[in-house]
Amino acid sequence: MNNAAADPALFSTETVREVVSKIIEFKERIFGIDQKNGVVKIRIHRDVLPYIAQRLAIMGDIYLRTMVASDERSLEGVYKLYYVFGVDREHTNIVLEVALPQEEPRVSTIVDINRASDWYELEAHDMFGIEFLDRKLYRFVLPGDWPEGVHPLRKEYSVPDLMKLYRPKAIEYAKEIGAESIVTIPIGPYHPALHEPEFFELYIRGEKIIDTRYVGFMVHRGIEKLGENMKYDQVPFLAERICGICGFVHSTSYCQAVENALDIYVPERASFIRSIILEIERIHSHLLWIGVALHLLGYDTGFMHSWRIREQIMLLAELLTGSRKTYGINVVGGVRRDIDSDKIKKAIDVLKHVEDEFRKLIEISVNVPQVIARLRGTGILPLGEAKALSLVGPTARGSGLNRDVRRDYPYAAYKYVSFRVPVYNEGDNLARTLVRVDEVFESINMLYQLFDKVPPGDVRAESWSVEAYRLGIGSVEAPRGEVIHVVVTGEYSPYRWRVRAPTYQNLPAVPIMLKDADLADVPLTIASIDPCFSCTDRAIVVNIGSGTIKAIPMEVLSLKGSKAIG
Amino acid sequence: MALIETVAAVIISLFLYILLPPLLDGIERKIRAKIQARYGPPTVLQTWYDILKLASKELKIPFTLKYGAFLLILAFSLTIVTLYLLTYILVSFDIYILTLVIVLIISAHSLLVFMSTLSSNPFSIIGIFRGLAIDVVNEMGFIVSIPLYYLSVKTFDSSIKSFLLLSLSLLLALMVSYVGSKRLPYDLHEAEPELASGSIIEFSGPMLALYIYLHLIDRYAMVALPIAIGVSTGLSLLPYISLILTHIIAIFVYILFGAIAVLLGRSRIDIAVKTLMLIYSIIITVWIAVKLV
Repeated sequence: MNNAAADPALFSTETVREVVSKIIEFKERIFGIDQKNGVVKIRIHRDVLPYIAQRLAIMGDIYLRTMVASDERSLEGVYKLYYVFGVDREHTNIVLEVALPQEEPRVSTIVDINRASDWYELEAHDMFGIEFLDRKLYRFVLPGDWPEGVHPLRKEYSVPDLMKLYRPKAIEYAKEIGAESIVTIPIGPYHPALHEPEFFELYIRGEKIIDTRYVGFMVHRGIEKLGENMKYDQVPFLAERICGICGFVHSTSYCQAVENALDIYVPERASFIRSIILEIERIHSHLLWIGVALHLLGYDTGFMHSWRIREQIMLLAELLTGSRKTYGINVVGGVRRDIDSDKIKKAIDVLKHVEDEFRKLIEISVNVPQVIARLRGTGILPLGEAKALSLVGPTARGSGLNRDVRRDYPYAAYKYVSFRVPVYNEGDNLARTLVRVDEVFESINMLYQLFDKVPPGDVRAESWSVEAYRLGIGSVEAPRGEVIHVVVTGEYSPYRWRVRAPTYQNLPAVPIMLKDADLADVPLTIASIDPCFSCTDRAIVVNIGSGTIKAIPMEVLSLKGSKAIG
Repeated sequence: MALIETVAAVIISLFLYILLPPLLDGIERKIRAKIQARYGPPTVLQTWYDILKLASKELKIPFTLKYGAFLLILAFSLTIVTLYLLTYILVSFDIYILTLVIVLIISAHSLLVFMSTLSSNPFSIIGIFRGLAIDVVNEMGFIVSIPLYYLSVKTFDSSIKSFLLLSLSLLLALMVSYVGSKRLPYDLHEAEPELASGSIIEFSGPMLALYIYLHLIDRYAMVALPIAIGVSTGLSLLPYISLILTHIIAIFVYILFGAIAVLLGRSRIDIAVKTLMLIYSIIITVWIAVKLV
């Protein structure tokens, strides 16, 4: 490490100075420290990764926001891992950059030090073939019949190559199981509760949950790979399609990552418009969630009215962006669509109406005896677990973890408005619900301020130029929690684009919430993290006696009934 | 003339018992939609259309449920006999027939429970054991509520004490009737978000049509029973007037139950059983205490 980098006094924040002073003992293995735009990048030798991760872990207020693996063999002959740690109170990201030689892409695991790294390591193993030592590695993101040795995010594979290499063996599989007479293979949600694809294996005794296992990633859309073949301004449209409910957070996050990497100035008016649309998106998402939660509690009247109120927000979004959903107004350097004073006036009228109606809905709903009885004391997640798993969003805030990207890593126009971050300490389903309820009111309040303060001016940067191989981080507080996009710039397209949605961070907490829960509370508890899933349709039989696990498709179950289980 | 009127009233009443429930369900769905600020089914006859459509579908019975169809038909037959006896007690009240009505209603419920236990589907099994837990508590309440209510009506003398006894027993009878109707918060046997229709998950086509029809008739009969007892033993009216009055009150109570259900959420099995046991015990104890004072 050079002398300038080794001097802790040169760093802007107290925590970073402390980090540098704690890792100074490894200076022979630290290749440099850069500081720019709230990102402190520390390039380290792979041998010291666990030791440095350990030093960060014991510092307490630092959490793992995301980890990015990148194939940079064509640039430096290495794979790289970027561990992005957040220091909320100082608005700073600490990035540990670890290079792995292409002949031997191995590094020690840090999963025993930081539990939140578990899925990231498994995913990097699947997508890049990186070996993490001293831990069990298994196929995680890729399907079971994916060809061995093909790691799709490596640069030698193009999207058409991958499509030729892998076709789901649905027909062969159907023949193997004797289902030739079936015309279609049903693909759909395993559980009807959330009308979304997910697979939870519940081990129950009576109606009590003994243990839970989550099997995810049933559909991998390969969006990151697709983005690497698109121009910078095309990617926001793809990013917005990551989620059907809160897509705008993804396009904003991506744009911010590119803007961060390339130092692009975003006009203030554009920042305000982004914040306005983000808050409108939060209100509609929370109203949607509250409706679903009430439906899961059997209170369909609340569900219907929540969605009726939400409809006004959808129309408001259409008024401001031209679309009810998937707004498509984000571009790198700003937005494509301005708003005028007439629209602002109409929007304020709508918000006042929504605020009144929502207040009445909540007053009535929380007084329904079954609603309150089933929310309180169920699905408990302790603060310690929330911290250990680096949870985000209302899931974290319902367990007393005061974390909100809008305040901790200010972006767009949030620094111009005042708002409260609702935090509840109980950690149960009621706490997570109340966080969202309070956030709706806070968002409405924020929107009044934003509409009042929209400055005049342009809505997008006139021009910007690309400098390749720079790292940028963009994060947004989505309705479900922190979304973080990391971009390594390329000449014409992102060289590497990493997306981390909040569900990815929050899902590992669900088995903890479900421990000793009643079966009846499972749908609501799973829904309480407001998850987003992909698709699955399999049933799994666990034979505890023989220790075997086998997957049984639904069509076999329907044909053979209990005989299929054997 | 009176005999002809009575026979005609009995036949009409029997037809009402058989034809009204799906129509009332259609009305309930419309009211529910109105409260929930949505349009609801296109017509109040929608439940009838649903049943007829399901009945016209191909008959598919899961292997393990193949003998269940006979149990369903047997339960349906018992329910039709119950309806006839329900009409009959309005013409000529008889405590033994009332007892038989109670036995028949419980028998039909038991057959439905037994039928669902034949399924190998875990959702069905969980659902039916939930239903069974509620039924055990509720049918104990049912068995107690009817005699208490009958005694209260029979000994009613306009005093405050008898008014109190009648109110308590009527409250118990109506509660039992509400819980027996398997509306929210006690629809735990099928609890859609948790169990994907639970005990009826494997029913489809004609079998599902018959189950829904039977369930709706049973729901209406559970409402009509305490009203029929009250009208036949408490009021001295001509049989056909008793029949008409019973149906008018039963329709009103049925729709009222439907409107109450819209305002409630779903309970959990442990909470539901404890709550019902507590409330029934309190009402029965207070009734006995008032009686003994």
